[in-house]
Amino acid sequence: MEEIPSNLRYSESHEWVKVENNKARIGITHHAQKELTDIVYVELPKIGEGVKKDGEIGVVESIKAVSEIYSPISGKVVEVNNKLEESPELINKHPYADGWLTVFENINKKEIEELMSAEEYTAFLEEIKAH
Amino acid sequence: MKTTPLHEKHIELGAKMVNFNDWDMPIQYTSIIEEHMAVRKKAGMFDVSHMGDLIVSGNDAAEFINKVQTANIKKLSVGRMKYTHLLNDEGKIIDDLIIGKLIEKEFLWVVNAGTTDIVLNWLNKHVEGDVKIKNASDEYGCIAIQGPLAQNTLQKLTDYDLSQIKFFGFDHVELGEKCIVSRTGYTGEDGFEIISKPETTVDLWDELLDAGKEYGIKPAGLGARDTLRLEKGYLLSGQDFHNNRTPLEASAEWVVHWDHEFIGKNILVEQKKRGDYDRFVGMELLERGIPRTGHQISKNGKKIGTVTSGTMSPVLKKGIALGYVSYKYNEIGMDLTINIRDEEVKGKIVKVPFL
Repeated sequence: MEEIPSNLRYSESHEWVKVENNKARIGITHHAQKELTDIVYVELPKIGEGVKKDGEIGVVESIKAVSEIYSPISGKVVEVNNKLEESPELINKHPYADGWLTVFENINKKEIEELMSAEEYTAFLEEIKAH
Repeated sequence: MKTTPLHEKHIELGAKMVNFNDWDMPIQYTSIIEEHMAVRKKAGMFDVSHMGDLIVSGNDAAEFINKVQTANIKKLSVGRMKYTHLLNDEGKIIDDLIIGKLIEKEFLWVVNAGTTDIVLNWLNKHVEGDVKIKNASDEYGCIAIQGPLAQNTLQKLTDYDLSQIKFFGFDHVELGEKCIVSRTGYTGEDGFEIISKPETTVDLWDELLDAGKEYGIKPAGLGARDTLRLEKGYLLSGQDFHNNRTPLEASAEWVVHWDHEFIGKNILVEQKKRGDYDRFVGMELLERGIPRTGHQISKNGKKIGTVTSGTMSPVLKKGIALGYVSYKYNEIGMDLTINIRDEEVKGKIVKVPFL
């Protein structure tokens, strides 16, 4: 059973978005961290950087693999999770909490509405597993 | 894809499977880091049944074997094994392998999974005299049990005193049938490799998991196998060399016995005389980052080599790499940079093994 909080929005590339007033917090899902396992290195975007939807906002590396993270929405980077430099395993342990990656402002509400709800993401994962 | 006798066991254990040289193999069961640390601190077991087993026998077997690889096999006693390199006409390594002397005039070759057919063809092309070459790969399974508690675990399954088997020695040990048990491995830890019939391999897998439970034994996949060998600086066939490097370049002159003739020797003699060949070295990063295969190595902005293997070391918790650098830069402690995604990340050459 995958852990999928109901108050978040989800992308097909397994990022989550949490709206916090006029900002949005972004991370990768439980499913994504489980697929990667043993995350040992994280590269985050720079504060102040403007990002387009589907633009690269970082890299997570497990022992074996390098995976780019694509932004599920557009916005401007206002915070990054510096704790991940020392403790990248936080993403494995708490993908929806201490393992967050970045916070955006100048967000576009419409883009967020277009992302999947928890129910839709659950169905999406079922479909992936069926293949 | 080909499967080993333990394929069902891996599926039952929930392993993540990958295609490794056309074999469906477990890359990890739970976590590469957990499996890695189990082998370093306790014990781990690996399915290495995909490796090739060749039997080379006959009156002229020793003579023939001496001609096609770098070790002087005439010095090998029954019950002993030798790590060696098979070279092509240009002195480049086709494969690295272990040869064991089973009885007089009969030798076991343990070769890499991805090169078994290549080695077989090469041997058949050069064979002469009274020599028989048999591919026995399908007749055997093999489990590697590795780690400081490997012997305690295996000892529970037999009355045979395992301390009699010395490093790179082997014996026929009763474990449901007479198995070839050698004190060898690819992790840098104490441990054994057990070659047996496929049915016995399946029984042994369960028995070892059970016997090792009290010691915290874990099944370990190819992911941990790779990080474990990397921390010890061991070469990986097909990755650190693939018909493009000599043993001298691979910093493995110790596998070359100069007191006998073998294919490629003239090239090595010439190369050694000149001295101007690349060297295989260990590197560690002084900044955050993970070196990977193909990353460029530079000194003062000038390219001096390429990474062939890299990882985050689970024990050292920093980026480590193996690769080739120009002979002019082969110096322990030398500063360099490794290009990771267009960034020059600082590192230095260090001694191998890394630990």
